[in-house]
Amino acid sequence: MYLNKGAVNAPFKPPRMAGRSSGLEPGRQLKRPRVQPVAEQLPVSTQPVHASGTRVFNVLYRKKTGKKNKTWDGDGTLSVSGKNMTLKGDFSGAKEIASGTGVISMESVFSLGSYEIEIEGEISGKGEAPSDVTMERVVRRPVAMSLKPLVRQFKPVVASQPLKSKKDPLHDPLREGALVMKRPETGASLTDVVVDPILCDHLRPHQREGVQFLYECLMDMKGAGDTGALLADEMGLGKTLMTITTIWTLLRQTAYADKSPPVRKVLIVCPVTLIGNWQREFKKWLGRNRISVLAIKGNQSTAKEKQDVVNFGRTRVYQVMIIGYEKLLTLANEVETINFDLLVCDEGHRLKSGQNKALKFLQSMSIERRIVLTGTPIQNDLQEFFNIINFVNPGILGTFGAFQKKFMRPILRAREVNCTNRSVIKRGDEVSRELIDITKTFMLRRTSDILTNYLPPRRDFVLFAPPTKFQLQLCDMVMGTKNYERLMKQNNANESLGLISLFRKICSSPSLLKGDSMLRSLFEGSEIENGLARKSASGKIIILTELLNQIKSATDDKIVVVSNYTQTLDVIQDLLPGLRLSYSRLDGSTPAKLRDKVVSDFNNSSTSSCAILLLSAKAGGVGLNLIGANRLILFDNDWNPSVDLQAMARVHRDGQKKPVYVYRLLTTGCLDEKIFQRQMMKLNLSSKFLDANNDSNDDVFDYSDLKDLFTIQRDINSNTHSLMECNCSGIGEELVIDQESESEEEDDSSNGWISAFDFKQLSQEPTKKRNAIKKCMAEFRHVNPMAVDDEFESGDTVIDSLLKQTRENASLMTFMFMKLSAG
Amino acid sequence: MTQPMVEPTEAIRPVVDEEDEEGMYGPMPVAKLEGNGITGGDIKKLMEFGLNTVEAIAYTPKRALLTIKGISEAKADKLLLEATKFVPMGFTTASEFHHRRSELICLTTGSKQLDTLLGGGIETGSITEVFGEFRTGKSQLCHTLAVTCQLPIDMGGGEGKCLYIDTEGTFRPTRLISVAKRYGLDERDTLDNVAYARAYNADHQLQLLNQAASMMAESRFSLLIVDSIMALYRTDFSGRGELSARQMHVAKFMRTLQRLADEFGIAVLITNQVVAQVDAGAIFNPDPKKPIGGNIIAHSSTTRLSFKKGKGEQRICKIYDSPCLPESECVFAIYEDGLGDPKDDE
Repeated sequence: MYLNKGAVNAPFKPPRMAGRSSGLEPGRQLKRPRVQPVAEQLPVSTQPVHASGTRVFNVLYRKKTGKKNKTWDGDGTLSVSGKNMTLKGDFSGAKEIASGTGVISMESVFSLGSYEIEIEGEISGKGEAPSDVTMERVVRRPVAMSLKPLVRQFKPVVASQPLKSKKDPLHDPLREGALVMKRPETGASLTDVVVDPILCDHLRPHQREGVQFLYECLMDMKGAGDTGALLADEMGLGKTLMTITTIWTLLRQTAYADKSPPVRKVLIVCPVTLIGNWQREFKKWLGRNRISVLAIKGNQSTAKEKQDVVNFGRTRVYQVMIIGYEKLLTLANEVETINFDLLVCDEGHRLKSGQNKALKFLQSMSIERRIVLTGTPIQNDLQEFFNIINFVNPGILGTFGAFQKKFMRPILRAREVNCTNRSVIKRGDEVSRELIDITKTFMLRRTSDILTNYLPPRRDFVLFAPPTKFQLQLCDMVMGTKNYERLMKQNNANESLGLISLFRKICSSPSLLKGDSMLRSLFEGSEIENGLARKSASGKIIILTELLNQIKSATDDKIVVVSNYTQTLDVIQDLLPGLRLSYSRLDGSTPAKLRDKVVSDFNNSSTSSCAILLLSAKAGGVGLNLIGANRLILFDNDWNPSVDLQAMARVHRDGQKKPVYVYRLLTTGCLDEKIFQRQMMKLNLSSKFLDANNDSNDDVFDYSDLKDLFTIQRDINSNTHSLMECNCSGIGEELVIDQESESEEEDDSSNGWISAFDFKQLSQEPTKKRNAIKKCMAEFRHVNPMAVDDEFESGDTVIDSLLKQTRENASLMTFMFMKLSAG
Repeated sequence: MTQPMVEPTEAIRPVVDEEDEEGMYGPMPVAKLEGNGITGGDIKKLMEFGLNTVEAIAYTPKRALLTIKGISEAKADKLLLEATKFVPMGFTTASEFHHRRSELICLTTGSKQLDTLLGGGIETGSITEVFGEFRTGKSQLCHTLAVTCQLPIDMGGGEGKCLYIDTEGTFRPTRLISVAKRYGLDERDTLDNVAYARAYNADHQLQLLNQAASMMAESRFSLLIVDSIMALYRTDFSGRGELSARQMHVAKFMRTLQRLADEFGIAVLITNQVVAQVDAGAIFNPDPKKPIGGNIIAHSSTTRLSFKKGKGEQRICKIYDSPCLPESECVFAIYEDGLGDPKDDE
């Protein structure tokens, strides 16, 4: 049995016998088959006798033989007239073989001369061989049993393609809510590609759009000759579901009636934590039997995995393979041998570096159709963006050199800190618009704003915790050392990073400093380290403790605590038993095969059995689905704002039922806050390209800022707030964004020459910074805990009581930004 | 499946079209040979003998044709000559054959692991033998396949009916119903597509195959199951004295199975019982078992699988003999809804 219709025995042929409609009655048992003689009503004696007296029979003849197993030599006709018989061959004009006299016997073999003859049947008319001559034989050998009820046409058990002609669409395109794909412009015998209703019914409007977009990109209907797509929707928009729908559609259907579906084998590459998630999503949407998914999860021996991969390519059992980026390289030799038709790279920003081995390998596989999924396509700079685009559609932006010349330099030049030349800025804008135009054809970016209708409201709180006295002392001591002075002068990047992490540790918890090599080298030999381990208290720890306490007593919500450092998680973990809170933990050391279990256990458990998940932003920041919790505490922040955004999106995503609260903790006036400010600026870069936003207030990291980073502003409520030069009283009223500073740039003369005074104004760093921060914080309301009274409502009882406590003993927080997003 | 109902006329029309277009393919009815000195009467004789397709005649030795009552040597020669005109029986290139094999349909067993081990599933056009002790899942595999063979090809089925010859009396339609539910199939339709026969003795078992051939010529089948091929032989023939008679009978049976597989491109699945090996192998294996039927069965089945019981609902399948599969094993499990993968890794 072969697939190919032209091959030996393929197609389903309806039975030749008219199938009787009545089958086995359900109650009737198939009894022992009965013998049913078919033609008993035709006894031999009814043979007609020709009027002339000559009868002609069809006979078999043979020479007389003594063989045990006799066979017949040939067929002939026997004419009988009275007792005279003549045997001839059975073709017209045949010679007479034998003749003589004898008695014919209808039943048995008789002899004629040297021949033995058996009669088969009588020929009614002269000369021509009759078509129906077998009555006697039928009598002698009855049909054993009547099987008629069994012999029925095969009823296809699944009403699907085989029943219909290939020209008809697989699913009804006229059905209400059916999603019909665009038809290709050329080609004979086109048909509609209709998304399977089992998936289509679950798609939200923006997801239907996304599926259509992906389909058109992959089928090369955008006209560019490229078959790659970059789906850069923000977190929580259902990129996975859109991808699964596209895969399922491409696996099953094609617009060309005479071709087979365009995709047979799909490779999905994703971070190892997400493998289980993908597998579950496939199962959730398509069930267990429609599609076969092979997940290389790393819980088996490498040899077995190799065998699995080889078998994947060899057989048609599986259609989809899910593999982690690291595993992909381990099994590169095996994966290479398989002809994939579609590649999906989840969290595609993993491919941002041109030196990435996985990127190079995947490029060398040259899979024709590619989908790259990422929530954050531009993280740091344009080069990364180029790498991703070049992977999705190789060559569309030319070589990197050309890209640099054409796009990168003008854009960067226009955004330089001291750039004042109007024409340079204008050129930069033009070029970036051009870049957006090129990428628009294969890149789809929607923000989570469109989810507003589906997601519960989310409240963001940025809490400024005052540093403790000990923290301030530590900072002073560090800055007071001679080595510190020397390091600042050297401006050595490595050493500076060490210093940065030192200060971050001080901000998080002084106990983290134990064993810090930077600290040691600064204080050469002094005994400062001793006793640090016990001093875990910091402004942030204090407020965290209070937060957890309040959440526990006031609500039944589960909490995710995120930090970038496992050491910090250790410190927090030590706190929890004292608070009588149960917890689980997921960080880089959690074995890959356990991660899934940790996540599903956390999501499904009751609050009392597991209230808190300690999550490392690096290990679990992306892709995880933690909708079991609705409160998330971001204990420290990363330089890369998308890391924080990703982490926050774990909780506020599709499926979340409860209102979401996100708390970000910052230490007032310290490094924490400076990082926060830099994040705001970086976010502007990304929104410039992705969301086609024309205003840019970005700048590049300036090393002279380093010193400023470590400087501690004391006796201040919030450095950020003061930077914004906001003169609100901090009672949380709605603020109108101040446009004054932006117009400043616009009324600038365009001739490139400006007055020295203007130059001074423009080059003022704080102005730019202020604008950037203002933009990002536009929707936030400013709250000074000392300025509000008991009447103030933040929308979160936990925060309300924190504010109250702060007013009573004035040490929990100094300032707060808050924002309510409807979705 | 939530398939919107299509008007019946629309559903039926294309089938008729297809038959017209593609009438060339598939098993050719023996009636095609009529003419050229072959009469309708001859055709009828052939069909009574169980030769329903042109392929069947082409694959049958002349000696066998001569045993049909009413077929002379001259006629037999003519029949073979005509039949070989329709059926390609000459040489072909390996590359052509390779291409054809790559499109071979395999029937899913329900377990992805087992399918992978078998290189896609139970191969059509050849005989697959499964042996093992009782409660190792042989009959369960049969029941699952009786349903999956009806699935559309892109779901791992063969889009055809199933013919089930049961010699041990272990056929249970309720098992089919629960498997049908798993794939969302209509229970009634699924059961209607399975033709079941109980064999009562070895001769009857062979005779059933003749009927099978005529049924297959009339309707599309994709699978023939013989649940326990040797059970009846084990008792119908006893002792050494009847051994050679038994083996000849078995050989004939196997040959007929192979002919059906070639002729209709169906998959043939047979199960086999085991016998304890008391004399050898005890050093490495504390409880050695080997399949019965001797060399006849061993040579005539294309793929041989050995089933063992694992812990709980898990079973272990080992490739015992195969022309291309490496000797390896895998674990599958038996559930209410048929065979599946062990649940612990999901």
